[in-house]
Amino acid sequence: MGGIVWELDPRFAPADGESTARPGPRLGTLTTTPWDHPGPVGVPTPMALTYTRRGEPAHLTPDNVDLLPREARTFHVSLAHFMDHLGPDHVGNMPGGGRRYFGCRPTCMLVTARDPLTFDQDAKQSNTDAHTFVASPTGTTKITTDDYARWIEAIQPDAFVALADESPSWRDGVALKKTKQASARTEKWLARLLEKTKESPTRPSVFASLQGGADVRERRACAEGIVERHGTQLAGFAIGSVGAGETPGEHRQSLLRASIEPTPWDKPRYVAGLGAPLDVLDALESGVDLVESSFCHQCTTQGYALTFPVKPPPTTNGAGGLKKRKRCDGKDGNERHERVAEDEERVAEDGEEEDANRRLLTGGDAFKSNMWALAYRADKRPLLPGCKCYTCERYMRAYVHHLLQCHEMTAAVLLDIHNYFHFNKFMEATREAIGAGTFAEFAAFHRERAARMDGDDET
Amino acid sequence: MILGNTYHLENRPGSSLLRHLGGLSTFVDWNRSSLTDSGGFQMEKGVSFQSPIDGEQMLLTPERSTRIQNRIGANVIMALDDVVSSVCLEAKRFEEATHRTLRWIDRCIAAHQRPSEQALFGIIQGGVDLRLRSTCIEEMNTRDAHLPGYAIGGLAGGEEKDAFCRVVAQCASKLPVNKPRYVMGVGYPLDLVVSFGKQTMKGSS
Repeated sequence: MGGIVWELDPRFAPADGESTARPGPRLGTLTTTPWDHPGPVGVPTPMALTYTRRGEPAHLTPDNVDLLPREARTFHVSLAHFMDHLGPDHVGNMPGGGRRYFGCRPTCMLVTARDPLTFDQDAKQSNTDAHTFVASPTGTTKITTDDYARWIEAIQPDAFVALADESPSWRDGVALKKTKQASARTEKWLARLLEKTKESPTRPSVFASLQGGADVRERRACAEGIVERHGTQLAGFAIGSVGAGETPGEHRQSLLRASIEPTPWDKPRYVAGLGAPLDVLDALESGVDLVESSFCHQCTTQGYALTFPVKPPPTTNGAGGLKKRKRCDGKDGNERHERVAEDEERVAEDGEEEDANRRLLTGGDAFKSNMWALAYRADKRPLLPGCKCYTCERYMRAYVHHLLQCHEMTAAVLLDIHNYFHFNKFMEATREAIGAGTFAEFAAFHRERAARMDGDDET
Repeated sequence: MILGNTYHLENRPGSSLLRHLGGLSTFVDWNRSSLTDSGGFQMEKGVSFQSPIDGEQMLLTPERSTRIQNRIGANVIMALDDVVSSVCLEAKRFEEATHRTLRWIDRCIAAHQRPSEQALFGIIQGGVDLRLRSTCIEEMNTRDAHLPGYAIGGLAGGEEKDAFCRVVAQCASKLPVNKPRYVMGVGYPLDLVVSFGKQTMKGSS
């Protein structure tokens, strides 16, 4: 209870005399005290919040979530999913309060107004000084700061991002006037929400949403203003309106940095919408500490399994060997590896990847494989050979393929378990690289690999 | 014990593919027992199905059903029987079904390629007519050497509960005591309690 505490790893603090650290990848710890735990729970950052729909992971029951790394119990919750005709009371009136409403009990819950996968504004509806819109289950719905505050009180999250007027960055050429207006509204709504929630018994932490659209100067001005006028009341900062069509790489990072540089170095930064692995690298390089894993949800719902290596392969040859795998029938899982190598025409061992022609046929790419593809119909290998998740230790690609073809729900369950597990392992690998000082090489590996596998021929 | 549907598994992913992948239990990672239903309704030479996927017709004869079940690889396989809805009004139809079921059990036994790995269960038919049921049991018993288990079929299809109880009681008393008896399609809790003492019942509710 009582919000979040985030601590920067001292190795990444600015040196004496430096006014602010130049934003870059850094390590930290996010700590909460869940209502159903005897003590505080800390998770390392950078990390990815688990995507939820109406407060629950889309295809996973609580026992399934237990199969994931423990940081997967840090949830992102979208208020938009709740904004139907029922209102906040059916959550807030639960015995014991809103925190007990969810079946899966997160150790940390961050609430934002909109779903990271959608921008809810459209051409027909404009925000006013009093309200913006979210895509609720019953259609686009108005939301005011009063509504937002009532929902915060009902759900009782550890932290929330204040309601914002988002101007997605794709709208280059939006008149500066509109961008400034969005920044002004966002700050006004922040002030109002700080006022309304400071007396809350559960004392949620407040993250400001930093706007400024596609204009670097406006982003900097918005961030500076918010830090100056409200900084002491804020637990962290969300960089808004990214992951919305801006050019990845330098352009995106310039927008991120413009928002981040004016903020105090000892407070965490969250960004929604930078979900695919290369986007995450952009975010971390700009100094972001928290991302969200809606990318995993998207992959699962489209039948993709994440199959990219989380880090560069070890330089020593054959050091890994065949990993021991569990099988329900008690047989050593490696036995299946050997049989598979004999049976299959393609040679594909742990660490080796499908060639480009095959990927073209199966509809996968450098990061994911399309399990709908008939190429996997008789494939006895796990989704990702060597993966230690529950799905890969027990099931074969042919089975997941079969489940998809039969439109069986279990396909999504098995894919979700694998995808969230793998994505969390990727975040763990980023932390390892940051800690070892090798993040630049780590990022280069992923970018070069993607360019090599998915890029155009140079001839 | 999990139950696999022979017809649907033959459609997707196909019993040959299942055999190639190590059988049903390996495919779904289930280390306990399994059973496949033969897929019986009514037909002349066998049972005709139309695929819900592409409309293609599949003729399921005793031989084909048994061989498909051999490839799927469940621990228990069911004989293809001629089962009539228990609320059918024609007495003659039940008689026809009883005798056909007996002819088909011999064909299933002959077609069974894995008798030491998979237990073939014979199915008693006869509607709610105790005389027909008795005939069926006596005849089925002569094949006892080839049948590791028996099932009481053709019930739980809307017949009166009195009739249901009488048939189950009669069959249970006449079937060999040293073999499992499987009352098929019995799902409601009360029906389960009534059937208790018959050693196997299918839970489908």
